[in-house]
Order: sequence, then structure tokens, then C-alpha cells
Amino acid sequence: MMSKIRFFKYSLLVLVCCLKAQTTSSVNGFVRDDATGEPISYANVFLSNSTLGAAANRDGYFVISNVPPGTYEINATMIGYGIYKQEISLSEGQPVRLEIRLKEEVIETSEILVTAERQKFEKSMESSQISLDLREINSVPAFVEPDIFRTLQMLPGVQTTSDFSSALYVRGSTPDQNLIMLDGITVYNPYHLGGIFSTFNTDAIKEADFHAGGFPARYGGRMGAILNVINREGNTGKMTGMANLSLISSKGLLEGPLPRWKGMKGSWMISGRRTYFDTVIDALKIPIGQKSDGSDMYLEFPYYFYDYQVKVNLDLNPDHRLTYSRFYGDDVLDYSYDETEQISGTNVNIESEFGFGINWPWGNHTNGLTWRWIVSPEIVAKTFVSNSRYRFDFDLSFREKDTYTYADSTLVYFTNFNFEIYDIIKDNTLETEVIWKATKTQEVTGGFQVKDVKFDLGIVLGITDQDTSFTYTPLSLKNNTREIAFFVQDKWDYSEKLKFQAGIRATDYNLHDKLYLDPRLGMKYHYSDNVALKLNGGLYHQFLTTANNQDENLRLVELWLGIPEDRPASLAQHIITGVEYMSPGNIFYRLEVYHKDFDNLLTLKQDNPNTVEGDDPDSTVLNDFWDTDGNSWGIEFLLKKSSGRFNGWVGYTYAETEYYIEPSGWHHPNFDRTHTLNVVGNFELTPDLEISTAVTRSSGNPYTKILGRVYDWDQNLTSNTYWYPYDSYIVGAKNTERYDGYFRVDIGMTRKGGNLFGLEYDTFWQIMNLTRHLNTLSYAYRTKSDPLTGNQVGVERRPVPMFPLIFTFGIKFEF
Amino acid sequence: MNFKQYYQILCIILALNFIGCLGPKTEWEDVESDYDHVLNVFGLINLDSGHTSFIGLYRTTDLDEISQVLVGVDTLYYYEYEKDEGEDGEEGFWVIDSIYEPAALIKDAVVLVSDNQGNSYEFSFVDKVTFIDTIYIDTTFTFYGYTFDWDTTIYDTNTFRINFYVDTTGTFDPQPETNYQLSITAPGFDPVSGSLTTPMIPTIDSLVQRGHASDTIIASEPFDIYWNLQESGKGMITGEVIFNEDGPDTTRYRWCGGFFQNSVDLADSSRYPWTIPGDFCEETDEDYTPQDYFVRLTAMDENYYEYFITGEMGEYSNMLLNYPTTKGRSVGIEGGFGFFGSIVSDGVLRTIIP
Repeated sequence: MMSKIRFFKYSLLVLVCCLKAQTTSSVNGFVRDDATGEPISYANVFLSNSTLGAAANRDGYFVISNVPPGTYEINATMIGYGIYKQEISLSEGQPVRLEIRLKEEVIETSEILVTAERQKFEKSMESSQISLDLREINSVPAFVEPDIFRTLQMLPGVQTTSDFSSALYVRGSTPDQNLIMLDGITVYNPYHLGGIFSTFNTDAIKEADFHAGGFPARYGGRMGAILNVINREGNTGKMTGMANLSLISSKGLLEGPLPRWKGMKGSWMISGRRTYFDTVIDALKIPIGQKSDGSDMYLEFPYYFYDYQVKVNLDLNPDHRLTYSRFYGDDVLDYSYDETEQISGTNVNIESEFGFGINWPWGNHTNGLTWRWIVSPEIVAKTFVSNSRYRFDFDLSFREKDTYTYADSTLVYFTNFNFEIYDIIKDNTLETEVIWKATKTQEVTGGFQVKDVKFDLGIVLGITDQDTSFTYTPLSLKNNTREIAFFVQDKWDYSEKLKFQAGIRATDYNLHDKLYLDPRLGMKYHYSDNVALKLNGGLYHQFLTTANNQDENLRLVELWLGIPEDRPASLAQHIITGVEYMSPGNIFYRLEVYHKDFDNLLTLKQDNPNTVEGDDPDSTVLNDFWDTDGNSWGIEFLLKKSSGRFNGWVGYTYAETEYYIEPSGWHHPNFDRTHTLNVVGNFELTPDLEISTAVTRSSGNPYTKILGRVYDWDQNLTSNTYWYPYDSYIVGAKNTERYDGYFRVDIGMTRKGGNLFGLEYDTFWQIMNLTRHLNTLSYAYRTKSDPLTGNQVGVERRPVPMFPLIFTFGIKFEF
Repeated sequence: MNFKQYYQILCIILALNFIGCLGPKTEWEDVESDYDHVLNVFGLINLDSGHTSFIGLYRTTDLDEISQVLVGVDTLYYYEYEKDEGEDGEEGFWVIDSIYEPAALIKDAVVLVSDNQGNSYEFSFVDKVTFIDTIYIDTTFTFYGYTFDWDTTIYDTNTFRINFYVDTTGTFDPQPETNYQLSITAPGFDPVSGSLTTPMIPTIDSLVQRGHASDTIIASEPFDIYWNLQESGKGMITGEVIFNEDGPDTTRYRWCGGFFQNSVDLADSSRYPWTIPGDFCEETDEDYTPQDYFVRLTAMDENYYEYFITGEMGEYSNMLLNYPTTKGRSVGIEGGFGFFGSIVSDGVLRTIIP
């Protein structure tokens, strides 16, 4: 009975509000940086002498609705900017659109300025969410150059397997369970150099939005974490640029306004990066010998990577904006060797050619077009169409050609051999999202997504000679999958203190005959102005996986596959609870406890050295999986100070993750570190000099111990049948041992204010692993033999270290 | 800062990195293990005539103890240097292969093989067998699972080390489709038991090429193998060229085609007859002479097939380990590692040309 009364009261309230809306007005618009035109997320906008106000969202858009007609002074504030004030008049039913430009300014005043952190603390519903701006991304001392993934690895809940990997293992989830997006476009292999760097050029980044778990219904298709990297929009005022040179790569960025035309305006940004080692080595022409034809051979460096990004924003009118975003990036290993020899005989001249080549590009190409339509001050619609292609294509080729020239004839014999292994993913996505600020206390978001993904994984062998051509395809896995998802979520301020967010996502996967429902719930209770309690949870389905060796500490590439027909979709359940405290000095504290339960994961079966039974093409080394379950839980603490001359964060994580596969039972995966302490600090000594440091102390990664040796046998079933023994190591229970604890100290220094030929420049210096601590990547083993008898008398091992002490240096120009 | 200064800084940075990369130093350390040893069994019931059933018995070893002992060397071939005309010096050297044997041999166990008729056969440990007054010239033969490949060597007494448990009474005559049990009792170890059911004897019916049964197989063209389909059973089909010495010395190394090895289901009519595809060969040498071609069909019991064909699905790998890994396999036995299995085969001899 009470719930019916409450429902009736609520309905009446909605009706009154709707009616009331017609006698009120609203203010909406964008808050931007005056110098560059970049939107300022989470700026505080309010009407003086009233309780009416709003926070700008990530796009800088704000709306204050249900404002009675009258004259007001509107204020906009953000740390690092001067206060914006403007008088506005509001008439009944006539919303006012504003374009607020904030100017950078150091304010010395007793007024309390609202930082983005406080805005997020007050408004954000989601647990485990962190937004990092460019300054925070660059605050962590970098390995050669700043990297968003390595910065994220310093946050609580995020782990890694080694210094050589920038991949993100988040609360028990592996990297393939994370949704990585650039301007909303899915990026399938966001790494360069075998995972050492991420594929994102930090110079082009505006901010990165990271959800470690419990994310809302608008995100789907992944079980782990969400990372959405937002690129800069481009300077709307004037053309500017920067160039950056580090030990690995050179980078450049240009941005500026679009020419105005018929009321349309906009901005553009283009940035690019390329390694230069190969070019420098080629230019130096270091001789290393001679070919058989007498020509010189020079040292070559056959590897490089590049990426470039383009973003164009076009405001067709105040309500319609088109944004085009493009990313192209590749790693390329390209080596070829050709040799020609000529022999002159009495009756014949022989020309012999030999060639060998490796061509191995792997990388991402993405394109996306977004149409944003401000339907009304309270309704914003976004429609987004994108294409993302990841391609990995290893091609090895040999060629041999012999030409025999006789007086009266010519004979040519040639053989070409090539071996190719490839993995190609093509993702075409269409999605629409509508955000409706229904009332002052209610915001409803709904939308749909259609995602077509084509997977193509294969191996091809080919031999061609003058008489014949032969092609053999031992592996060809093609998968066309389609996910159609609908979602709706409601963010409801039940009261000043209590807020709810409930949503549901329904997904149809074309290879399965069921509709997958993912409910998502969130609750936030402001115990006081500075203390909030949060609770989030939900179900998360995933429809693709990777075929990678689970034991590898070095993962060069990801091999993606769609979940096949005969396997259920992978599923994770998240439950997260936490308490947050924002001190009056805007220092953010957070304590969270999480639990995740995994079902229907797939672990690649590996290392069966014996012959595959018969010629079964459906069972290969890349699509045979163990059914895997898992669970993880942990406690995380974060202390973060984002403003001031001294800023940074301290994070501590206690985590336990276990996976189950049939042969191993329950075990810790290789990325599971029980205790992790991260300290990141950035101190502005002077306006021109900044010092940064990062300290990590954690438990060692698990490994499997070898216990002894046993004889296995192999056979030879021919006319002479025999069997021969060989040693195998007996291994203990999987991953029950741990390497020694991990410890690393990195320091960095940024010196600003240099001038070269009129160009301003900054220099940055870093030292990685300052204390030269031995962090173990793995063990190398060898057999001890008695030199006198030749008997094998024992086994020795030696740690394989991660990063040694490394100095890096770079220079950045701005113009 | 000018570019010269930048270049100097870069050189200093690279030098410092080179120095930095020299450490931290790591040392080799002995790997110790505290592991309760179990028996390691190679148990084979071989129904082929002229072949002997035998049980090899060992134990697992610690990491710091001898695993294999060097027992001898085998002469493989003489490698001759390519020399220019008139050049003096060594002509070449002998290439030898070191022969190792498992060190952890168990010699004092009681090994019994019994059948379901109540017959029990004790297999006794035999360390070596001796052939007296026997001359072997250019012979290759198999004995107790070892292959002996003799070149032009003449002996009058020949002792072969085998170190197996064998039936020394001569009464053990294994039969097809018969259940056998294995019992091993060794001092200091848990007892080991095993069981198997021997396979049916397979029979190759014919090799058919170009639509008719062939005595001569052309390796570059496909041919079919027909055998008597069984109700059940699995095994392997192998093809092997046995080189005689009629042709040029380099025939063995230049030969192309004819070799194959496949696991088969002896009862699967959907893939019957078994087709061997032709071999793609770069060129055909007119000097090639026909060689002997041996096609063998081996039936395996469940245990043998699982151990040698299906294999162990690895669940841990580390590319820095120089040996494969295992949790320890027990196929057809309990109480120890290893296997107890059985094979029987049929073979046909044909002639092959490339």
C-alpha cells in the first residue's frame, strides 16, 4: 500500500514538474577554454543568489532548467581559470544558449573555487571511475615518452605482468576484457612495439575516462574495464602546434580553426608520430660486408612504428555538430634480402637469384563520424558511425631463380615459397544515444548499438615453380558476428543526499539464440557534504575473446576471435562498494571493496606436441579452449590531490584473483599481485621546473615451480620400431610460487621555458628504475653436466630481469 | 640548446643506458626440490612377431641428481671438408652421437603380467643380451625396442645393453583382444598396477593407385590404402622408403616423396579408403632408381594411442625452459607415471619411384 502511494506521489510530481516547465525557462550552452576553444569538463555553472546550477559534462555542455523568468547573473568557475560572470534575462518558455569562455588565470582570492574533482565527487554515480587530464597523464615519469596505459597502471586495481607490457589487467580481468576506445571507436590492439607502448599519442589527448568496473548500461560488450580516450578538438582561435623528439620517436601536432563559411565554424587537429631509428641507420650507411655480386651490404634496422590522428569538428549551427575522428597506426617489421650471382661457363651463362623477405605489419585503422544534435536544452542526441580495422599479417617469403642462357635457348627454373599468418578484424558500428534531462532530479539515457565484426584468422602456405603452383591452408577461421544492443538508464536524485542509477542493456548476438540481459545498478548516498557512500553492480557479457597463451609474460599481439556458436557468451558479475571523502582542500580519498565472478571464459589449450588426430580442420592450435571460471576480489585505497604545486596520488591494492581450468584446477593467473602500493608525485619547484616521481612496491607475480624430472617417451613406428626417452620437468601446482617482490623508483624532471630560434621548448629527463632493483620477469633454466663424465647432474636457474636502470631524454617545441 | 648540445646529450644518455643495462647482475643458482619419487613405467605388450614385450622401470629424479648417464657414443658419419685442389690438411672428422640412458633405473622390482585366464607371467630384469659368434655386416635390426644400425663392422661377440624386464621363460605369448593386467612392486615405492586390452590384428588389403592395385607406387601421385575395417580401434598408418644401395650414394638425401605418418580410426568407414596425397617435388632426377617402400598399419590399444597420439595437453609453458613440462602422466597405470599399452601391426612392401 505504501509503495502504491509513493508511486502515485512520484507520478504527480513528474506531472507537476512537466506542467511547471512550461512556465519556466532554461539556460544551456558550452564552457570552453578561451585560448584554445577546448571544452572544459565539469566546470561549475550557477546562478548567483539561487540554488540553481549545473556541472558541465565531459563535452563541456551544461543545462540549468526550471529557471523562473527574470534577470540573473550567471557564473562559471573552474580551477586554473578566472571567474566568468554575465548578466542574462530569461523569459517564459524561451531558453537561452550561451557560449562561455574561461580565461586561464591564477586567482588569489578567499573564494573557494570548485575543482573538477569536487564536481565529479558530487555528481558522478559510478564507482571506480577516474578521469585523467593531460597534465595527470604526463605527471608519471615515462619510459621514453608519456604513455596513458603506463599512467593507468599506477592506479589502484590495475596490474601488469612486467615492465615490458603496458597492457591493463584490471581487478582480475585480462586485457581482452577491457573496452579501449579512442573518441568512442573500439581499438582492438592498442599497443606498439609488442606492448611496450600504447598506441595513443599523449600530445593529442585531451582526457581519458577510465572505469575500473561497475560501469553503466551505455557501455557493453566487455566484462572488465572501460577506457575512453578523448582527443583534443583543435584550437578554435588560431593555428598552433608542437613537435616532440624522444629517444624512440618524433611527434608533431597541428591544430587550428576551420575557415568560417555560411555561419558554420569548427576546428581541426592532426598529430602524428614515427620512430626514426630505421631512417637514421639507413642514412648512416654502415657497411657490414659484401654480397656475392660484390655490392656492399649495409646495416639495416627493419622495424618502425607510426601513428597519426585527425579530428575535425564542424558546427553546422548552434545545435548540430559533426565530428570526424581518424586514427591510423601500424608497427612494421620489414626486411628483405636479395642477391644475384652470375657465372659464365663455356657453353652457358648462369644467373642465380636468391631473395628472402619478412613483411609484418600489424596495427589499427579507425574512422568515426559523430553527429551531435541538441534537440532541446534538455535533450541531446548523438549518433555515431565508425569503422575499426585491426590487421596482423606476417608474411615470410623465399625465392630462388636460376636462368641458364645457352647459345640457342634459355632455361629458367624458379621456386617461390611463402608462409603467411594473419588475423584481421573489421568492426563496423552504428550507435545512437539520447540524453534527456527530464527533470532537475532525473536524467534518462537511452540508445542502441549495432556492431558488425568480421574475424578472419588464417595460415597459408604457398609454393610456386615453373611447372606448378600449390597452396595449402592449414588454418582458416572466419567468423561474422553481429551484436545488436539496446540500453536505457535512469539517473535519479531521490533526494539531496540519495541518488540512484539503474539501467539495463539487452544484447542480441547473431550466433546465439538468446537475448542477453545486463542489468546495472548504482547508488550514492552523501552522508555529508564531504563524505559519500557508493554501491554499484551488474552483469557484463562479452562476445569475443583472444587466443593467446595464458602463461606468457610477453604478449606481442592479440589474436581475436568471436565467441563461437557452441560456446556461451562470457559473463562477469561485478559488485563494488566504497566510501569517498573529499576534503575541504579538495584532496580526494576513496576506499573501495570489489568482487567479480567470471563464467564461461575461454583459455587457449596449448603446447600439445603430438599430432592432431586425423585431419580435423576444426580443431587447431588456435581455437581449442578450456572452459574457464574465475573470481576476484580486492580492497583499494586511493588518495588523490589534483590541484596545487604539489599533486599526485597514493594507491594501495590488496587483490586476489583465481581462475579455474580443468587440468590446473583453481590457480592464480600470472598477473595476480597480492599487494601493490603506488605513489605518484609531481612538484612544481618553479614555474619552469617540475620534478616527478613514481614508486611502486608490490608482491611478485606467480609462477609454476618445477619439482623434478620424469622420463617421457616418443616413438618411431617405421620398419625399425623404437622408442626413446626424453626428460620432462615435473611441474607443481600451477602458479603457487611467487617471484621476489617488485620494486621500482622512477624520477623525472621537466624544464620549461627554453628558446631556440624563437621557438619555445621544454626538455624532459627521466630515470627509470633508479635503484637498479632486480625485478624478475621469469627464470631461465639450464642443465648442469659433469664435464668429465658427460652426465646430466642437475638444473640451474637464473632470473631474467625486467627494466634495468634507463635514462631517457626528450624535447618538446610549441609554436 | 643547439643541436650539437642535443647530440652530445644523446650520446651521454646512450652511454649511460649501456652502462645501466649491464646490471643488475644475476647469478645461476641450483634448483632444489623436495619431491616424493614415484615409479616411472614404460610397459609395452607387442604382438608383432619377432618383437618382444618388455617393461622399462625407472623412478622420477630430483633436479639436483643425475637424470641420464652417458653410456656410449654412436658413430653417425664422417664429414669431409671441401678442399681446393692441392690443398693439404685434415680431410674431415667423425660425427658421433652421445648415447644417454635413464639413470634412475629400478632393478629389484617384482613385475607380473597376468591375463584374464588366470595366467601370470613374471618378467625378470635383464641388463644385457649377448649374441655369440655372430657376424653382422651392413645390417639394421630392432631388438627390444632398440634399433641397431651397423655399418661395415664385424664382431664375434656382441653384447647389447637393454635394462628391461622381460619374459625369460618364453611362455608369454600375447593374444589380440585380450585383457592383461600389470603389477609392479618395488621396495620403497607405492605399488603400481595397470591394465589394457590388446588390439585386434589389422590387415592391409591393398594399395591402389590409378584405379588398380599397384606393386609400384608413384610418389608424386595419390594412392589409396585399403585395410579390413574393424568394429573399433585406432592406430597409425606410416609410409617409409627403405633405401637400398643400388642407386647413387646421394639418393637418400635427394629423394622426395613417399614418407607419411597419420593417425587413423580403423573402424571409420567415412574416411575409408585412406588416401595418401601425392608429394610435391621440385624436380625429378632421372638417376633415381626404384626403392623399397614399406607401408605399415599399426593398431594400438586405448592406452598406447592416448599416450603417443593424443598426447598430453600442456597446461603450463615457459619458453625459457629447455625441456617440456608435465604434471606427470599415467596412462593405463595407477600409482606411478608412464604407460602400459599394446600394439600390433601389419605391413606391406612395395616399390616406389618419385
